[in-house]
Amino acid sequence: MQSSRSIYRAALMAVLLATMAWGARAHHSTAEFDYTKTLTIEGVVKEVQWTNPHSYLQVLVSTDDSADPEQWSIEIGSPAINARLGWRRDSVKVGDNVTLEIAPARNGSAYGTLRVLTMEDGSQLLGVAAQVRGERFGGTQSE
Amino acid sequence: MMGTLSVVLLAGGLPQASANESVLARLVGVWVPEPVPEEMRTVDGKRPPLTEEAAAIYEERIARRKAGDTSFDRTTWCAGPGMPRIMLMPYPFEIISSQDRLAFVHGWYRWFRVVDMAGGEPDYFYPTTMGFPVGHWEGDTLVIRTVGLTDVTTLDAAGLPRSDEMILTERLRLLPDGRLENRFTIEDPQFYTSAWEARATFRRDPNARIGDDVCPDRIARGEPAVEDWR
Amino acid sequence: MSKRITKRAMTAIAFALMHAASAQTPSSGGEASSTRRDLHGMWEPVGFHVLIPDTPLNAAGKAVVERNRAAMDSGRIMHTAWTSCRPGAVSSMTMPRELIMIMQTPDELVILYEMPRMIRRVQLDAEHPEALEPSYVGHSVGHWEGDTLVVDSIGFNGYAELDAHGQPTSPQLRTIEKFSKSADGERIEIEITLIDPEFYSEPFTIQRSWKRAEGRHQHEYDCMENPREEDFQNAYYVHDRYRPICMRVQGEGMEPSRMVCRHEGQ
Repeated sequence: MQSSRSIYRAALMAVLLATMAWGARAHHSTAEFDYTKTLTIEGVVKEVQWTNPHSYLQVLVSTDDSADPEQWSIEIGSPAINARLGWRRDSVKVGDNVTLEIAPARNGSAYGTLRVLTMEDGSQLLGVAAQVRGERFGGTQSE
Repeated sequence: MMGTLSVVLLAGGLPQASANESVLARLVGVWVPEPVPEEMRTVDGKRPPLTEEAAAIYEERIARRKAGDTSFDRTTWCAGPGMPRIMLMPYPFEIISSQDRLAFVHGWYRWFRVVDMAGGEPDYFYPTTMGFPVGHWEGDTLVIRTVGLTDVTTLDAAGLPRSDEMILTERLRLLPDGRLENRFTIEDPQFYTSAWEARATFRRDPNARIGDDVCPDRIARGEPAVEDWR
Repeated sequence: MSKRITKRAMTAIAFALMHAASAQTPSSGGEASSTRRDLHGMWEPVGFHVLIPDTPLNAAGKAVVERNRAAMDSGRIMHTAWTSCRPGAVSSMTMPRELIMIMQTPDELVILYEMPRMIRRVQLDAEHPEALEPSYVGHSVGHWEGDTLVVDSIGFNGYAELDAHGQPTSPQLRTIEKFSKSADGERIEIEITLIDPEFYSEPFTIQRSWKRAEGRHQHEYDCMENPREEDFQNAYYVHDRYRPICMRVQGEGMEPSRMVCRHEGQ
């Protein structure tokens, strides 16, 4: 999991995430997720889909007043991207209690893309959207 | 040229590296798999030595498949079959050699694997369908050891389970009749009570080519993702 | 001692000696030109290209791009050959990604792409066949001009988009790629000319660069392993054939997810 990072590594990570976010969304419209928002949800991991082109966590989120938990689908980037962010396939397991900061789906459904995942022990994993704050994806980007 | 050949022979035979090169020269190219049973058998013709848990999984999958439910088999939706299954499907493959690497290029949906012949250590972040193959020569036999294979594929069409701790060892050699033989050793204590060996053979066909097979186009037409043996 | 050498053994020995000699050339410092012609190895594209600016789109091409833009502006997710897991070779020319392995024999180059997963064959000193079945990857023949490998490709099926705006291609597409390895062997510079009179009023050229990436391992891109419902809600398909056949549907509560496939006619 993540250990403390130097300022240099954090800056490098920011550049990497910005590039990956662009790449991950390059073929999608900006309408899928609202990157100007951050929503925080807590729940239990029901399923881990470690897959291409996008991986997902299925999380059961209990709401205070309702009996049945709500199932959220959280996108977490491809295995190759996640590996670079320090994930392993079993970093998150079925049954884990997690807190998720996400950029939610615009249509208000139980769907979002991960910014930061915090495990029960306080350790954290980043998602592709960690550094994305309401950017518009238009125009050419090349190094 | 004849002068060079004489010098080599009088020195008492070819050095090992050149012997490998000459075997390799006969290994490269397109191979067409010969049919194998849908329920994989060991070289002794027996069902593999499954643990109780694995046998229950396998029986359930066999029953589901007979009833038309292949949802345990990810090739149904054109996901990768992985190793060893992709070599046990009725699609040709081609062996290509380039410096310290051997590529196996398959005629099923653009799959390939690159075997490291330089003795590198497999390093991987997560298991994949084709794993991390490393090869070396033992005499005339090409030995490929693969780790880092994911557990989401099946060993055979009928659904033999496997874990991501599995070690696959392949021994490829040319048979006297010119066919290629691959003997697969499966070591996977999570699902099998002992290591076991299976065998597949491949033949040459001068008309066989590796085309650009696009599985989604085929299943869109209602064809199966993996054909039956003809 | 004398041995009766069979013709077959002589051929094998001759091959072995020639192969051994040619294999030594790059590392033992053979002629500079043969080293410059050695493109074998693992390469990584420099830069990140998802849009090809300033293309000479004709009216038909502009109409396609406008239709795509309108769909995306209205909030729909555009599905191209790339996102439907059947990318064309031309997309990997314009938008090369991740690690690319070049295998090289005297007769051909075999280019193995990590993402999207694709195999291109470039036959050296060969001709395009008279009758060519159109395909996503086309048919490529190459020859050396000095130390530049010139690759000519035709036989595309028109189901390929050049970039994230969905700039179109047709079966008339012809590409000419020129691969030149740098003097220090660390880069391949690629000049790509695209010719497609159906959508572009004249040929145009783009530049790409790959840098050496030895010691690194390609990831596996199993594009079709998890087609999710969410990917296809509110979708806009550039071509009908990009529609999904199978989709993963999440189970209620603790019920696991499952794949649901449709077949032709359903």
